[in-house]
Amino acid sequence: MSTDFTNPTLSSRSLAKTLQHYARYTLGNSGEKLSPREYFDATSLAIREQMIDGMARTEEHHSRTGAKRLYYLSMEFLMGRALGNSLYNLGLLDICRDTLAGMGVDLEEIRAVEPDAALGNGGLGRLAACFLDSLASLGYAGYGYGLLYEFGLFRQDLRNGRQVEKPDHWLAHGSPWLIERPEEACIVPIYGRIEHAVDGDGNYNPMWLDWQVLIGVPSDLPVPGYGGACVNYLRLYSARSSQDFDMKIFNDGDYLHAVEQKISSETISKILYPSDTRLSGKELRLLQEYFLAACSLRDVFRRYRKAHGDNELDKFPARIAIQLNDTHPAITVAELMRIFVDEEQLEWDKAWSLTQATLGYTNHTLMPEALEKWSVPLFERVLPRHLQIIYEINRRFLDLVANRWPGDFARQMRMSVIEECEPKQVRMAHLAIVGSHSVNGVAKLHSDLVTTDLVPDFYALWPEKFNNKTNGVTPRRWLLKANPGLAGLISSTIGSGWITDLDQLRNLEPYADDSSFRKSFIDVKTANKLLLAENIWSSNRLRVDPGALFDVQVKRMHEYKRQLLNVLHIISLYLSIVEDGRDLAAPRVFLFAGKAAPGYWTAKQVIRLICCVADKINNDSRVKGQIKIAFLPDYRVSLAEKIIPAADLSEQISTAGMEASGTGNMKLSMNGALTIGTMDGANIEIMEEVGRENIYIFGLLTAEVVEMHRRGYNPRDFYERSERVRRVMDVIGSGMFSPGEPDLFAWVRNSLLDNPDHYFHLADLDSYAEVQAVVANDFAQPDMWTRKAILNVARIGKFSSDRTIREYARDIWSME
Amino acid sequence: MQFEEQQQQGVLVVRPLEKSLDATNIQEFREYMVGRVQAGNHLIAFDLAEVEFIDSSGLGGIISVLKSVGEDGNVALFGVDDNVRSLFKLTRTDRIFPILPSIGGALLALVKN
Repeated sequence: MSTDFTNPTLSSRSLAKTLQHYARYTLGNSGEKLSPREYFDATSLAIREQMIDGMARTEEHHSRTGAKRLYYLSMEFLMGRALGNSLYNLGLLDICRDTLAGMGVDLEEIRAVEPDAALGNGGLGRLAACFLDSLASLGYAGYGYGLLYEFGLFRQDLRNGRQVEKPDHWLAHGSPWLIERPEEACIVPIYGRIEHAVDGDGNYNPMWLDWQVLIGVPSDLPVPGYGGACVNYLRLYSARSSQDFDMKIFNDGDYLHAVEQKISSETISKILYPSDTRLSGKELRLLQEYFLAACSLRDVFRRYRKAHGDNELDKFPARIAIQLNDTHPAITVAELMRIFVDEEQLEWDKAWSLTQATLGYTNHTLMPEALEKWSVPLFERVLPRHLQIIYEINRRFLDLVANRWPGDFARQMRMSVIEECEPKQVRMAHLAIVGSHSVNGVAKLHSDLVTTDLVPDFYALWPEKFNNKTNGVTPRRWLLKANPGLAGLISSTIGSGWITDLDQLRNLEPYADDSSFRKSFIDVKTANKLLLAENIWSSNRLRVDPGALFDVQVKRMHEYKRQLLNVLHIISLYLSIVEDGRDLAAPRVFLFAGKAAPGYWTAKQVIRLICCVADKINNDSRVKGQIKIAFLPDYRVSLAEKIIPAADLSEQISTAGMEASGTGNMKLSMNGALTIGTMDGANIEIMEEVGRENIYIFGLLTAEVVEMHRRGYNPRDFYERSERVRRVMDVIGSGMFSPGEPDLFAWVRNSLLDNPDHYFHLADLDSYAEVQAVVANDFAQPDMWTRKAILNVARIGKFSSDRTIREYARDIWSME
Repeated sequence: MQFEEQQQQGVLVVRPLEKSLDATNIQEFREYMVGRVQAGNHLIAFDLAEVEFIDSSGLGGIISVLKSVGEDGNVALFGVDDNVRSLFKLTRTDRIFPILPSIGGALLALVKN
């Protein structure tokens, strides 16, 4: 498979020469046989040259055309591996493969050496990575700003079905992609106190004194767009201690204490917090978030001044847009105000209008535990000046609310940026909403729920701020690169225009009725399944039949995503085979992968349950191999790229109203998997696109969930009413899957049956199982199944992140 | 810590000969300046041309001089490097004493008032 365009600027000969140059003069290998890692480093450095030239050309172009700049601030960028993606986007895949082959080396082996850049937990971080690819591929001056975590998301090992977390020291061998820019380091003050003084004119002048200093050192990761014409960057900051920071302690002779202080300040960018929904309110996390906001804004202003001089702040929002990826960077609102008011000495009202016009905020979740709050005492200790500014923002905001709804004190309490509890809390979502001109959700349903359920008061005040931007994924990584077989088949059938215009996949529709195309489509899928089967053998020592239905649930482990519902269904199938003597319509391989936050007991127990159920069923001869179950360890971008192209069925079974959007659902459908899902997140829009007949929908609707919750959900009703529910729950409680520890999974019964389970597992089990039976029957009819799968691919164009980015650019960033 | 100083138009011009004004040397700075203020110098211009870094202790040291010169006195700064200036702006301490590009401007600001 080629990349469908070839970069003419590089010959195989010159690439070989450059590669050898780096091997000798950068890696210091003067003639020994290079190890795969050395080949990876030398190849990447050689390819990076192309990107550095591209970055310079791009910057020159953006400067010359006066392009508006978009800064995408995110605590997470789940980038995955860079080499393959860069080769595809730069059109250098074939040349690189040939060059290495000429040296007796297989490019695929070299690509496998690269550690994933796992600087994110899940959907939010991967969305940011897809957005960077689209920004560059569409030629926008759009840049990512994040933290250079020394340790990315933990590596997951499974020991006897238990998740064991190991540190992900992804930079242990350095990264050939990162370009450190020490000359652009910046100073970030933290802690300290406010001295209430007056200035020379007798005005109140709060001075921020007695702070400590962090140094933010940026490193750039080049982001090449498809075609290589535009190469943007992702700028990642490391925290360093100031050389002068601890001089006094050094001077006092306490060398060890001084070094401890130095290490302590450098911990700020040491590790990614490993939870996608639960944040612990820790001081270090607040410091990380502020560090990102402060470093990013210093750089934004530095670049702005360089381009426009000192006196052009009126035009700031016309030239700059800043998007806040969730509330994590929401402190940007206060930091931008601080810069405008304190450093640039603008009047408050002017500063506020510039701030609001510059910032946009994307909400990613309705889960209350994921809405960040910081205790006021902590905030005041870490960022005293920012707390003052937040209080002033809030005072003026509450005046506005009081004017709009005179006497409605309850509403003021609800809307306040400060929650009046003990201790008081700063509500970061409110700060982000108040300080931004745009607030968007990430799928239609989610955006509606933001306005009706999450922050209806804010919607009533500012309906014009609220909008939807349904997520998307980049087809370069998730189809072209991850599934070269399918990409090749598509390009040879309808041309390669789809790579940058995914709507062109519509041209595949007629081929759904073409038997020879269907056969080719099946051949590609089977080849992908064979590759994954090898992977499953290698990681899990489990043989699976590539002819079976590959039923895939890959995502973070969370109760609302309901991996447990999937397990309940598997158990009911198992019982129907071994107790009722019913064979399945088609054999199935159930594949799970995903990490649980280290402190999330239930999610870790679900992993354990899956592994125990797998152990029992995989080894029960009565099943006759009709069911195989595997939990693939250490889910990450590079593993997703192997699983997704091989999937037949995509499990998107969250409780309705709880998944903001999902993006795995898009990737899987794009790769020809059919979806079984609830009416949740972007599933609904996928259904609208691919057609109700080409997706398997089940379960309660959001309104029904709400109503059931309101009336009081009693899972016992479902237990009494449904034989399936009863059998499955009784079996789990019996200790069948943990004979050595019969009570090991007693919590499942307790959680789903004896308590009003917030995720409504038992309420949805029958509906889920019934639709799964339809799935099995359809899969047993390959022509029908394949036709549906092809139509999924053909109609998935909407879910390109190129479409999403165009909408952000048009509606929020005013870049078109 | 070493200083250069001169009197011009009734203003004491002090140039700290250090690259950094921080916790390691600010006590010496304070003691030196207490002596100069007690000797009757209430209009003081700091020439920070040599100073490349200033931390919060250094900033505190300069503020303490301003506080000690009393109602009739004043402090001005000149020769301030961009990085150092950004810290004065960041902390809003640039609003309590004039920061000027040259000695001439500093003298004018002090003498005028």
